[in-house]
Amino acid sequence: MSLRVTPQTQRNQTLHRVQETNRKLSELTAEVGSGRRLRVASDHPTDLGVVLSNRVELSRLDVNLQNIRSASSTVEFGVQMLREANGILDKVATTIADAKSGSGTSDQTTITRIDQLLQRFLEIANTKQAGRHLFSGSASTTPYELVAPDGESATQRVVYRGNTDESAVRIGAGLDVATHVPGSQVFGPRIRTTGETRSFGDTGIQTGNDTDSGVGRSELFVRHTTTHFADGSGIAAGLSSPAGDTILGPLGTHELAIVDTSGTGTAGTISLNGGPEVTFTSSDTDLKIADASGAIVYVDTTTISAGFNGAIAVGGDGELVLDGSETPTTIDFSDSQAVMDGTTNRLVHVDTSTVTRVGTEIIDFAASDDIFGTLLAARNDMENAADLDTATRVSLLDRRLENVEDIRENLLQMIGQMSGQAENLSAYEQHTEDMQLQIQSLTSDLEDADAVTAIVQLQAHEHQYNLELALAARISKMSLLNFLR
Amino acid sequence: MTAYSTALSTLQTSQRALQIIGNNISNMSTPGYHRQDVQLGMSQDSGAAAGQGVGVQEIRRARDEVLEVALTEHTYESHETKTKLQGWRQIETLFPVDAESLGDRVEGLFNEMAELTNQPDSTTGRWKVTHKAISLAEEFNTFASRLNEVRAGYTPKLRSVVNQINSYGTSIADLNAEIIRQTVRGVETHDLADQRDGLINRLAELVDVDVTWTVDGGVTLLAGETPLVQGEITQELDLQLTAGGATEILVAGTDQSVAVSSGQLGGLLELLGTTVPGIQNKINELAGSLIQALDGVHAQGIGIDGTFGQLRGQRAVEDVNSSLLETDTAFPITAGSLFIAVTDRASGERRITEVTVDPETQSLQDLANQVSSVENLQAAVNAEAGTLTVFAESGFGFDFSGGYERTPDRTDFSGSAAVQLSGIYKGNQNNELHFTIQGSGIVGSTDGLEILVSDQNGDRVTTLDIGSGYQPGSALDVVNGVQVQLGTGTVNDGDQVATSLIANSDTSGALTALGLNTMFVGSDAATISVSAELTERPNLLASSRTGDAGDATNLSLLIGLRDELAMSSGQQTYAEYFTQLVVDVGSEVQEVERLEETQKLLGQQLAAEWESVSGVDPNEELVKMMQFQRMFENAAHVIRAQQQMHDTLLSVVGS
Repeated sequence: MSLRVTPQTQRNQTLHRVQETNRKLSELTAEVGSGRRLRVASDHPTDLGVVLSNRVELSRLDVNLQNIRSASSTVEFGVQMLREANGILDKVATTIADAKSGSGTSDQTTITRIDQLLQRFLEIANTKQAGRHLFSGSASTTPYELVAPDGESATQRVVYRGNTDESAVRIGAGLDVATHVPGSQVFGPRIRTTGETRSFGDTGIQTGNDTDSGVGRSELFVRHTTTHFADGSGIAAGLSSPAGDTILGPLGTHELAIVDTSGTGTAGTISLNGGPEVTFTSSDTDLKIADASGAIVYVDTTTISAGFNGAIAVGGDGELVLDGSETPTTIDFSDSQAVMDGTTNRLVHVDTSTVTRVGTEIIDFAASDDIFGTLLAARNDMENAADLDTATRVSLLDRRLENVEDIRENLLQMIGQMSGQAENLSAYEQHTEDMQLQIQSLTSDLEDADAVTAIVQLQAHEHQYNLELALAARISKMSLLNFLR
Repeated sequence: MTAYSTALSTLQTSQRALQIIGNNISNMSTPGYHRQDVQLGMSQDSGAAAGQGVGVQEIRRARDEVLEVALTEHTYESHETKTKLQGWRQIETLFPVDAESLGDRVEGLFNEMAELTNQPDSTTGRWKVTHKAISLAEEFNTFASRLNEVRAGYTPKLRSVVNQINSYGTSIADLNAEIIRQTVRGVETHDLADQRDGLINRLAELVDVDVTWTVDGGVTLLAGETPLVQGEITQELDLQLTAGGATEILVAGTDQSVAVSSGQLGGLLELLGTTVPGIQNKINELAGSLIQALDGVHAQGIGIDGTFGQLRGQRAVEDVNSSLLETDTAFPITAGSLFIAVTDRASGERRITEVTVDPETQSLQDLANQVSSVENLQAAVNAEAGTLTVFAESGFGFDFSGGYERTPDRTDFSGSAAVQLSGIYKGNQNNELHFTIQGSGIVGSTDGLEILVSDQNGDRVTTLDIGSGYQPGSALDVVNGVQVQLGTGTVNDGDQVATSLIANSDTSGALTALGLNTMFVGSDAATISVSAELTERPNLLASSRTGDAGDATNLSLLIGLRDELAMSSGQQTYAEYFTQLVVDVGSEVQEVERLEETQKLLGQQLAAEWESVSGVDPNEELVKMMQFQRMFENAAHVIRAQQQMHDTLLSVVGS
């Protein structure tokens, strides 16, 4: 059924069309004027959802980028410091090498130089960036402190006050990067392997083939307890033997040559290991016999078998004491014997199968000192307060050079790690910037007005608006009354 | 004289018709005016011959009842939509697209925390985080306040609408009475009916009414099933506000509820009862969940000032002697454990003690007693305030950062070697580690010495070689950042030490519920604020799990919350939830706009149909006017002819 159309109907429809076009014009004007396609949530809700998510992502990327740059700067500064430290290690090595060439005590200039290098290392290790120590781990304390001799140590030492936890910065979702590494990781020695401990002394003891727990140096006291003689000669240990004998080793390690000049065992001569002959009588209960190297054995010759002439095997039992421990370890003459210091919890493995005499061994633990310990030890070696002979002193300084190389190895490894991290951070920075640009572009597509399209639409609607107004004017003139006039 | 009377009837009829046409033309722009049509009919006298003239049989009001009903329905539906649209647009303004939103502030807090990982001990950085937290809390408060204002603004509108409904009802009832009276007297009531229809339409703008026309000329109006107007009787409505903020429409003076579903009143009731509370619930859900999550992690961290000497609860329970389940707490407390670490500040020794929490049987006072049983720790309840305070003895500090004890208990360890744990536990579950020695001998020396590490279920975690080749005192990786080191000494086969690894030191939620070391106080958008202690001392911001200045472990855990699917039953992150809320509001506005547009088109269609049936077309009226003008002229001619005939006849008689 066709509707009866009145002028009012036409007016209503025209009015509606004009209002609708006017509304569109208003929207387009606002879009062009503001440059924004999304002005309220209802403009394009789905697009707004994407835009809001993008904004969240962009704000995170902003912070990530900021943190990446900050972390990058910290790591790069750290690498720079470590490279400088590596350069100083060269000077340390040169200085130690110079010291080796001198005899007795090194001259004060070399020692002063070591002190200066130590100071420089302390400055590097305590470097701060943006108010934080670079090498203190997650602690805020000054990492390294030079401590004067005290009850804990008779010599100067450098103490690490930082901690062993890395401090990490958030640079992405669930992604943290370590920026402040513990100084103990950086300036410490490399990981120790087996058989690296060295022993300096003349007891015949060798270092074992296990990993030891000591740090720096220890003293291993090799003591005598009992002397054993092969049967047949009638000789026995003298009264001073337990405390006075210096020989050690399984039976046969040493040899006594006995000549019974009396034929009755009442007089004759005895020599140790081919050393000088000592006359004895049957009344000697504590006769001291020494060999050419100074090894001593006290014997009781009261019961020498009559007419005995010949060599008998001699051995000495003993015990080992590490750094004054209260619990001595009995020597078992094996190739790897563990010796512990119950007080300091140090453990050293030694080869006692070659031990021949008592004495004190200086045990030098490999890869155990940090750079500061090494420098202070080198300084002590140079000062030679213990008045070591030149050969030992040179050996110890050689050992310091080895320590320096150990530390360098660790340092270079850290430089490598941190440089790699700096490179990764740089790549991550680039990646984050790319992501930022991409998301910004996507967001702009959705939230910013397309000016060209909007203006073209604006013109089209303006044209339509004019037509509608013209139509309204025309309709209003259509009346029978007008026709009748 | 019949001819005269016939012509006279024609003259009178034409005049009446012209009067109606004039009335139509006069009211052609009057809203609700129904065109009136004159229906002519032959005049008939009983017993008289045919040809008695013409008369106005009826003045018909051009009207389609079905269309009128459809228009009424459309009126209340479109006004309901318009009202809802206004409400939704008002809500939409709370979610500005360009300005910094609530979602931005949530993200801003997390971003500031991420920035702080750069330098966790930075005072400036800590202030910035605290200020972001304050800004977030204030935004939540503002949001809650604005939503409350929106809600509050509906009440006077509702009252006004109810008053208008009552006023229209009274007027319609009065008109009903007049129409019925006039109809009985046989007087035409078209104008009164138009007036009444106009009022019904205005009433329909306010409330959904069902209109029934009665035979006596009256109308009955029902709102739902409640009669508003029945003939001359009207029933007034009343607005009922409950203490809880619910709104109900009742028949005045009764407790009879009126089911209003549309019109402005229906729209306002939906906005007030469903729409705005829905948004409020969502914002409160976001605020509550965020507070609970952030506080839960914050409570387990430590600021850069280190362990606590005293902590005062910032959330209260209603009754300190009722079970924690029965009394009101800001957040729920469930059965679980609270692991409290007490540190001897002189020696650095740290012991962790488990306190069992059972909300069914424990009151706050019971919990305080439990805490007090921990060595070197005391807890006190403030019965008036309903809060708990925990404090350590002098020389001790406490924290809830979990972790583990670095020196495990050696009860079952007969060897001499020291066992130490180190590193930061990075697992996310509470667990136990059991270290069992396999073989006897000297650590680092005896071949084949091993430690078997197993978890709380007895499952093997790892086996570590501590025999020949192991450097005593060196750290061995165990699991999730934890390391073990054995010192020089002996171990014996079967020697055992164990330790608990605490990732979550509060499995009961008690710390959050009681506000111990929390970041916020309050529990929803209206009440949230940053802890005053934290505001005053940003050093208390729990950035670490160790107290070390550069340790950002807890910050990382806090930041990690933003990626957790904590909302919508594990479907959305906080940011996604807020974005979804904005999108939902935008979509709802768009949806209601579309509905309004559709209704506008339907309204146009109905208006065109109404115009088609009831509208006045001036052209038509002009044509009709000409028609009746002619009729009048013709009747005049008839009279003139009759007059001439009479004159002729009289002249014949007279001459």
